[in-house]
Amino acid sequence: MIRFTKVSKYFGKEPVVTDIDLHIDKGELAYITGPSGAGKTTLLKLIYMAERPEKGEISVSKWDLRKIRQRRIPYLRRDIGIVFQDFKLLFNKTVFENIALAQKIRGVKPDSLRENVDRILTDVGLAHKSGSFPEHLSGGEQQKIAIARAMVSKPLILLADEPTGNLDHASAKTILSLFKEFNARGTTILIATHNSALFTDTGRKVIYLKDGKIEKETTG
Amino acid sequence: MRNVMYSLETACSNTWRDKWMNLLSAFLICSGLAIFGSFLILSFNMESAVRKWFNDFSIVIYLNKGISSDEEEALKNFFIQDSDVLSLRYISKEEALLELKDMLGAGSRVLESVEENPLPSSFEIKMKREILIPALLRQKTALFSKVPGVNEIQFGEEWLESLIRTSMILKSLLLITGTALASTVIFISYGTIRILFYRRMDEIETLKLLGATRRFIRMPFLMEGMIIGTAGGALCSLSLFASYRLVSLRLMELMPSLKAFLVTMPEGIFFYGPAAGAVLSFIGSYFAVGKIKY
Repeated sequence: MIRFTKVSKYFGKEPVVTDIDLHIDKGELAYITGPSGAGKTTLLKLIYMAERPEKGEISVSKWDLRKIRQRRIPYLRRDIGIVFQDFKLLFNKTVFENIALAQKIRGVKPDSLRENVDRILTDVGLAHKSGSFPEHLSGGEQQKIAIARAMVSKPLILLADEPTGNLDHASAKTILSLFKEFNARGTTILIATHNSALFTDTGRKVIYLKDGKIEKETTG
Repeated sequence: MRNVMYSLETACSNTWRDKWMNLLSAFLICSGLAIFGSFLILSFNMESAVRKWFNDFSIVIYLNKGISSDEEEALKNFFIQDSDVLSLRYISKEEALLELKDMLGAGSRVLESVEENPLPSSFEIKMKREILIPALLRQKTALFSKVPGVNEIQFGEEWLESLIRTSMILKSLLLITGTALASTVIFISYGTIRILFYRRMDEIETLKLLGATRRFIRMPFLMEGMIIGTAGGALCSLSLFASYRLVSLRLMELMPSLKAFLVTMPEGIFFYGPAAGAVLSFIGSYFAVGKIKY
C-alpha cells in the first residue's frame, strides 16, 4: 500500500530523511516513532506530497509519486485521510459542516452526504454534537471530529501525526480504539508518535526513526 | 453544479463574515467607478454636442451669376447623385438676401440702398460623416469647383479641424481615464481578496489536505470578489443616476439652451455599472488568489 525505496529528503543541504526503505501492507496498522526531529512528520508529508523527495521512489496505492503532477495531488489526497495533533478543524463551521466539507470536495450528492456524515458521527460517538462548533468541544472530541472528517469518505489510508499529542490519557485511549476499529474495517493506518504507550504490547509494526534513518523495525 | 453552489454559499457567508472590510472595498470600487462614470457622462454630453455640430456642418457652393434654372437643376442632380452627399438645399438669390437681412437684424437697413440683389444663388450641401475630414473635403470641393456653373465653394475648414481635434481629445481622455480607473478598481479588488486570502490561509491549507482542487479553493474567492464588485457597481449606478438627474435638471433650469445637448442617462447604466464592477473585481480577484501550490 505504501512503499519507500531509498528515499532521501533534504532541507537545503541538511538531510531530514536518508535512504529510507519502508513497506506498509494493505490493511496494516503501523507506528513510526522516534525523538523530535527524527523525521516522522517529514515521512508522512512525503506520503501525501506536502514534500517531495530529492532521491528515491515512493508509491502509495495506485500512485507512483514521482509521476504525479501538481494538479493531480488533490486526487492522491482523496485516497488518504490525515489527522493532526492540532486537529485543523474550521472554527467557523459546525461539526457537521466540518465533516461535510470532505464530502463536498468530492462532489458527493446532498442526500448521501448527510447519510455519510450522520453515520461517521455515530461511529465516533458524537452524533449529538452535530450542530456544535469545535470551540465548544473538548480536545478529545475535537480529535474525534478530525478523525471522522478524515474517515467519512472511506480513504484507503489514514495518516495520523501525533494524534494524541494534545490529549489526556483517557482521550488518547479512546482515539486509539477508534483507529483500531477503522483498521479492522480495512483502512491502512500509519501513526507517527513519540508516545510509546500507544504501541507497546499491541503486536503491531513499529518503525524507529533516528536522525532521519530507520534505526530498527520491530513489533510493538 | 454542486461545486458552484458550494462556492456561492461559501462566498456569501464569507462576504458576510468579513462584511466591514468588504463594505469598505465596495465603497472604494463605487468611488472609482463613479469617477469614471461621471467622466463618461460628461464625455457623452460633449460627444453629443460635437455630433450635433458635425450634423450641422455643411459646404456652400455659390453658383455663377446669370445661371439659368435648367442649369441649376442639372447642377442639383449632379451634386445629389454624388455618393458622399447626404442632403442638399437650394438657396435662391432672394432667399439668400432674406437670410442675410435676418442675420443683420437692425443693421439690414444698409441693404436698402442696394438696388440689385448682389447675392448669388447657392447650394448648401451636407456631406456624409465619413468624408468630414479636411483633406478629403478639400479634394471633394476641388472636384466640385471644376463643374461648369460653380463660382466658389466655402466650408469652415478650421472649424472642422477643431471639431475633429475636440472629438479626438475626448476619446483619448476617455481611454486614459477609463484605463486608469479600471486599473484602480482591479487593484482595490486585488488588495481586498489578497488580504482575505491570507487571513483564511489556515482554512485553505486544511482544504488542500482534504483533497480540494485549485478550482474548489479559488472559486469562492472569485465569487466573493464579484459580489463586492457588483455591490460597488450597483452603488455607483444608483448614485450616478440620482446625481446626474439632479445636476442636469439644475443645469437646464439655469441654461435652457443646454437642453439640446444634454443626453438622457441610459437605463443600461443599471446593468453596466454592476457588470463593470463584477468583471473588474473578478480580474483583480483572479490575480489575488494566484497559483495555489500543493
